[in-house]
Amino acid sequence: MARTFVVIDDHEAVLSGTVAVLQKEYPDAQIITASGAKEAEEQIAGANPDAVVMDLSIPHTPKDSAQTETGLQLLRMLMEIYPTLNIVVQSAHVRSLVRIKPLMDLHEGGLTIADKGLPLKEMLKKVDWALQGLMYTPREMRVGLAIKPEWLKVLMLAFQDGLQDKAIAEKMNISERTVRHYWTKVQDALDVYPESGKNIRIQTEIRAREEGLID
Amino acid sequence: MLLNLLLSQSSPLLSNARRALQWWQQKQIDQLHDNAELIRDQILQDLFAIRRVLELAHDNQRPLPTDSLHQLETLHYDLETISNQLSPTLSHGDVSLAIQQTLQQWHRQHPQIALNHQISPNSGMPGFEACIAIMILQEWLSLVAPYLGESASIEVILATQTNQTLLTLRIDEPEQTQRDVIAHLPELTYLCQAFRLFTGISVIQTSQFERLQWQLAWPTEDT
Repeated sequence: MARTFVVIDDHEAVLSGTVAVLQKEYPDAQIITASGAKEAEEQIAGANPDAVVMDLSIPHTPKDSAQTETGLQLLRMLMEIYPTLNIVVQSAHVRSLVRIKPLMDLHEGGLTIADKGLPLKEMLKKVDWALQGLMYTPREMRVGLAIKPEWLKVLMLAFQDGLQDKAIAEKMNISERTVRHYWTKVQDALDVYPESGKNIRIQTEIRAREEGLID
Repeated sequence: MLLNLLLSQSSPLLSNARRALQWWQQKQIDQLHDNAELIRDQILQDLFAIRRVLELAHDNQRPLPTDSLHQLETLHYDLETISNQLSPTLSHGDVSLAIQQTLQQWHRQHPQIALNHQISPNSGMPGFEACIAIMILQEWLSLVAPYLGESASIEVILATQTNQTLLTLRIDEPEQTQRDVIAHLPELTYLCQAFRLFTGISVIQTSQFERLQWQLAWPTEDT
């Protein structure tokens, strides 16, 4: 299935580097570029992309100077208008995201953070995780283990009562999609991510027990 | 002498001097932040582009030499570290995270020293004071580190209470000689005085058994 990506970055060399990487990994993909927030808004509204790969330090229009606040504002807006959009933040300013971490916790689409220092393979992994609807935030963005009560409830219903997602959804009076959303958030908080040959739910249970979240 | 006299009074003179110092300090912080952003917005971007070109030019049959990749990674990491050191992390608005990052960064440079920390999230410390607190913490760590014995340990606690945020810096040092040296370091006295001059807040220094402790308390900012 051909995918559509929107890539946002105001540095031409960075933009072409990212496009080349994505084109190599997803040869059939349609890749649309934008160099500022305003252009990005228009492209995303028209393209309905599978994922957006965006920098944070961007200008609003080509006439403006690049600012982290502009990228943060665009990200806030995207999460509000497109709550299930898959987003990869590829930036040298990832620490700035701390300001909107509570909003990121509410986003239901994939949301991964790729520092610009990451090797190509790692960056592609973050794109793949976002397309899978997962959440990934670097550890440096977090203070301690921040687990919301609803995420803890999912852990307890799954690992103490042995319930599956459908039963958890019924018990918590929420949709199965929301249960899956909670799983990605709690897995990110516990630093549990997909690994070849490993069952992510079992990894989550092991980590949750290590942290004393469940008995 | 004059400094002690100034600090002991809450005169308009002191108040004016404090405002001027805060203004000056803020200017310095802004300038450092601009330099840090220059590294992030230009040098790191160029480095990213170079790296991707190299990575794409090589495939599985002709992989990029590991040494070259490692050098690029080191260069990126070093530049990022310089940028982090230049830029007050507090510009990102989270003092708890800033303290955690400062400690982690310091510990990477001094892995031999036992360091524990308990950082309460979402402290309500006002921006400027928090910026000064980070600078004080960095300076305190660099001042005490050379005098710590092998069995010594450091503990940093940031606790948020109803009306105040407490930053506690502790050293547990079983060696009496080392403890005495640290307790009487003139630079630490200067540091406490500078902090008081900047913020109007006193640093409470205590010692009990093998423990030396410095405590800074801020009234919590209304949110």
